[in-house]
Amino acid sequence: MRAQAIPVRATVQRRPRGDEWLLAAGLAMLAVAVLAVGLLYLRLASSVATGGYDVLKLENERSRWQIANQQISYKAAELSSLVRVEQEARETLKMAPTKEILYLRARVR
Amino acid sequence: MGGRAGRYYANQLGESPWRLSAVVVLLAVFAIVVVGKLFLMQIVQHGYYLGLATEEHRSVRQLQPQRGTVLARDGAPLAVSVPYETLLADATHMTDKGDVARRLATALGGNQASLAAKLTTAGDKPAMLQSSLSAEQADRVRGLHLLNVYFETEPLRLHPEGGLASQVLGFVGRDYAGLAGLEMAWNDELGGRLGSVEAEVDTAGDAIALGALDYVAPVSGADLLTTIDRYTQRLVEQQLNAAVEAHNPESATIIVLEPRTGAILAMATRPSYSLADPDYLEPENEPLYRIPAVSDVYEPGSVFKVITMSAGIDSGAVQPDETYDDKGYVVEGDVTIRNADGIGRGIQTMAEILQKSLNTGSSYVARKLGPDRFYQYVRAFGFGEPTAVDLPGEAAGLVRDNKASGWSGSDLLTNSFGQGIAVTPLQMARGVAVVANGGLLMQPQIVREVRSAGGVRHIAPQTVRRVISPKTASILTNMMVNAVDKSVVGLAKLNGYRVAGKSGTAEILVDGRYAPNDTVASFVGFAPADDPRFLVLVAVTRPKDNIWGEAVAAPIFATIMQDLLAHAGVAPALDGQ
Repeated sequence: MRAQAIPVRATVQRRPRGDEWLLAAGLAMLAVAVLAVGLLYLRLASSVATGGYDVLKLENERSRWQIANQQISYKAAELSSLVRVEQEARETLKMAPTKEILYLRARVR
Repeated sequence: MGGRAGRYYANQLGESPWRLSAVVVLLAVFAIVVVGKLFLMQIVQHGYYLGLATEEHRSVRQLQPQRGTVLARDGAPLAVSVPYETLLADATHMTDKGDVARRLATALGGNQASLAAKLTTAGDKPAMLQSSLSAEQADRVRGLHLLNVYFETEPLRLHPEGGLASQVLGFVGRDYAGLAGLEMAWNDELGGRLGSVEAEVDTAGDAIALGALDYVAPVSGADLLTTIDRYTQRLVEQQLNAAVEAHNPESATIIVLEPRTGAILAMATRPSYSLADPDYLEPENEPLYRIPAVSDVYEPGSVFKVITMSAGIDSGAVQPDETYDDKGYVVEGDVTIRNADGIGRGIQTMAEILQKSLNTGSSYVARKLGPDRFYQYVRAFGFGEPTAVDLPGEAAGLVRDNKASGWSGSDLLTNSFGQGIAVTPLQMARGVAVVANGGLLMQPQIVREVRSAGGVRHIAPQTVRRVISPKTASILTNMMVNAVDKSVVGLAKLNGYRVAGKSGTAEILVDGRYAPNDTVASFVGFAPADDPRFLVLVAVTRPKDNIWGEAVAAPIFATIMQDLLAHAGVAPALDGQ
């Protein structure tokens, strides 16, 4: 077997300088700012999406009211139809078709 | 790379170098295949996969426009589209179908067993649980918060007046396109324009709020304000039903016109289908879908003498006070024309030709007119061509004039009293309306206004042409009043009103011969004669109890006219009572 060289890492401990502290702090602040902006965007996107679903829900509700409204309008038309009016006149008001129309002379002064 | 590295690692691991090389080659081939496939998908078939992806994320939905409403003259709806919800269920994912059926039955007031059966037998298809739910029913179901239960909205074409004016209104098919009547003739206006919404959707198929959205709004159909008067139409249909009951005819048609404008106030035929009958779309009803008042022709008989006499007097061929000798028959070539009763009455006036409905008299007038002038007037009155009313399937009628091959002199005489000539009921009504309207031919009108989002389009009454002079019209009116007043039977008379009218009894051609007992019994008249408000045509085909127009059609005319005048507040002249 051949002998193998063992690498030796030399470590030198050095105290950080003031401008390096500043850089580190700047980077940390930047990270926080990016995080804050990200969170803000997330919240905004979330609230817009929620708002979108609320709009969808309200649109569906409006559509349901429109359906109900048109059904009521139709019901009203059906109730004022001649068939219905005649039926009410015969059954409720006990009216009967006229056999004779009589015109009277009116004296106008 | 394979050679040196392979040998190095093979040496290190004690493996043979060719096996490692094979693995490397395999990996390389695999990589090439993957890259190739990626190239194919991303570059070559880019459009195709982009389409698939878009389809997955986007939804394109057609938006149905609201179909327009058909309105009566007074604005009351006759045909209207109303949205209703249909209840559906995806039964494949339901765990307890019995419980769902029980809760739905409670909310809908329906049969639990029937609902459960629908859920059980649906398989992997959507189960249609109930259609046409009212808004309250749908809300009650929504309140149950059931999973896998959903709604679809579909519009229904409904008729608040029931079966009133069914043939005129017509109907729509499953695709919501008009298939008959006004619904068909005015489909483009009523139908509106489809819209669409293209949106990015989530897994539930709902539009994503921040997604792209292409929205094209549907354009609602226009509303049609017709000339149909509900009261008059109902009256006409009641009288038709009574006529069917009394005379058991093959068919019967009544038209009510406003002579001044050409507006069709009512038009109906029996037999007919009824929009109030849910089975009206059954195939056996198909022959009833046409509108016989405009699509069927008949020989008008003596009513046509009004046209002949108008032409004779207006052209100056005969004078109102002129007389002729009625021998009871007229010979033309080898054809003998006779009066209906075969009796000769001696010297007769022009007015008496209409009053006594003399075939020899109308033949006399036609001979004095000559064929050229006679047919010129017939065509001027609008016969032989469609009236261009806005209804489908209108017939032109049949006028065989002296230019046609096979025409003979006897045709002129028979045509003069309405035989050998075919007209539609609407043509006949419009022709007589010329007399009522001072000589002007009007375009029959069924739609007065088209109301769309873009505005209101008024359709004004349209004068087609002047056919006879006001003086001739006035003379003819008096002759027609005389015909009603001096009629032996007098069934068209109305106390206190001057009624102008003429009856007709036209024999029907059966196997090439006129059958004396198969007739079209008709009556056309208008009132008040001096200021006509209404013109009524009654035509009853093959009445079983009586063949005469005077006996069958005139009383129906009188009943309708009396009612219309009273309803319109046209007071009678009391001195006339």
